[in-house]
Amino acid sequence: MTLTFDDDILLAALGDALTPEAVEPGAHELAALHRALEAWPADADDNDDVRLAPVIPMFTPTNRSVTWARIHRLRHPVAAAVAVGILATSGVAAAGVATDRLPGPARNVAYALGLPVTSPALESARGTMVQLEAALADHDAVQVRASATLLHTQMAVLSATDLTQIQTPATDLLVQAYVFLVAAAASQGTAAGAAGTSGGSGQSQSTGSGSSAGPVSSNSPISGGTTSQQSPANVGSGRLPAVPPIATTPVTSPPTSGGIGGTTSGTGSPGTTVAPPSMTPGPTPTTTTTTKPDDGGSDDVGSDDHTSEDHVSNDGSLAKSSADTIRKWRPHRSSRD
Amino acid sequence: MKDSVERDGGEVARLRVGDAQSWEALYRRVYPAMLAYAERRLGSKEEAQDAVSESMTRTVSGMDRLAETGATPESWLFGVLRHVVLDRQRSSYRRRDLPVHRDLTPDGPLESVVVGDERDAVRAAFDNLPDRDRELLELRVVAGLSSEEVASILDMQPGAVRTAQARALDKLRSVLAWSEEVVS
Repeated sequence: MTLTFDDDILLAALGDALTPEAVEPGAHELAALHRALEAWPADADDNDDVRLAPVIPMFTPTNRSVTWARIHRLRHPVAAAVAVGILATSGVAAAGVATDRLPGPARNVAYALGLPVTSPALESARGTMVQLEAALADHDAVQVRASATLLHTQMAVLSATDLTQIQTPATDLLVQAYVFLVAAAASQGTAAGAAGTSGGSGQSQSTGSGSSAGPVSSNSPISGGTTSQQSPANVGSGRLPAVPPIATTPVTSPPTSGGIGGTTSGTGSPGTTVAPPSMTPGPTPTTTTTTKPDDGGSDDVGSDDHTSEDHVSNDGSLAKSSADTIRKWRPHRSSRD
Repeated sequence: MKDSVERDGGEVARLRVGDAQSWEALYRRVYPAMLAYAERRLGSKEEAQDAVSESMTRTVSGMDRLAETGATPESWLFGVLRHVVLDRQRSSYRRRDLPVHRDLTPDGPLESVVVGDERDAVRAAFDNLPDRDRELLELRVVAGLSSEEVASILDMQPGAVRTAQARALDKLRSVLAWSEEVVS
């Protein structure tokens, strides 16, 4: 072996030694080349766009892109997050106000701010009405009593504007509640016997001078103070009506909007007078409740054991205020709460 | 190779308009040298094939600039290939000096020298050169690029390329002389 160390010869020898194999690109590689060639014009355009992008705006900015650009200009990501949060929450709040569907605290704030939302008190009263309806449907005496009491209390604090919105249905509900409670008390048979003596042919007629300012429905069993088909005496006798009777006894004095309760008068025994809570709340609701419907013993409907202060006298005077009513019913409500 | 390019002066023009036949002809012509270069640096034939293919694709995408620079297609291709190879080496953390330096021991390449295969002796001596020298010599000898073209690829001055080439050949010569002395 002879090695020549001349540069040219050495390069030639090196070239000879490093001569690559005679290989050709495979079909896959040629296909890749052709794909690149086919895509080349588009790629070239893209490259031109990229090169020109910093100089020439290649697109017409839309409102959305402008908005995002402004957001991106915010130097601090927290600021951007706050901005987005404000937009989102304000949108939700606006939607809530528009649809009048706000949670309690938010409603309180919105109402305090003067936004056009239903007052929290009215909303609460409506909720109680729903509960009362449900309780009536379920024949849940405890719940009916509690909801009725609560509704009565809530109506007492409603503004006149709010009250007009629910007065009719709320009054109907209270009447139904009263009727139901009376029937429930009767069904327990706790007033048997005694009630029979107190009822008799007695009739109580609501003759309230202020007659019902509260819109008692025309088919309300208490309206007009007419005589019911079944007297409390019958109730006391243990016969449970499908729909508890009301009318003459118990007597409900149709409330007046001004809080002046109507008087009750009738020929019946005063002991038969059981009045539901006032249908018309007001500053001084005049509702006479002489009997806790589900209480047994001497408080039962028609019982002669009622004290005079628990009854509405025959001359129609309402001796009890709504406060008394609430006081009587509150223990049950408290226990529920 | 350069002569052939000069002989066909319209090749660049055809390449620039995306003539498929011209590109395929160029591909077939430079493929062996590119594959050898990439394989020597990456140590894997499959990876070398991928690198060459990627280089061709990149070159097609940038054919406009090919015409602007005035470089020959071969030098442009090898310049792209070199960057592709470096990227792959960086990405895989395999900065290999392939093939690895082999000791000139009787059991190594020296053995082939002893047995009288001059080609193997040169190849063995070449493999023991520093990576930078090997790359320069590869581009000059295997790819057939001029000093100016190699300078543009390696980001050097043409004079520096010539100096570095002379130094690399000196090293190669020293190795071969030493091995001959050992043999003799």
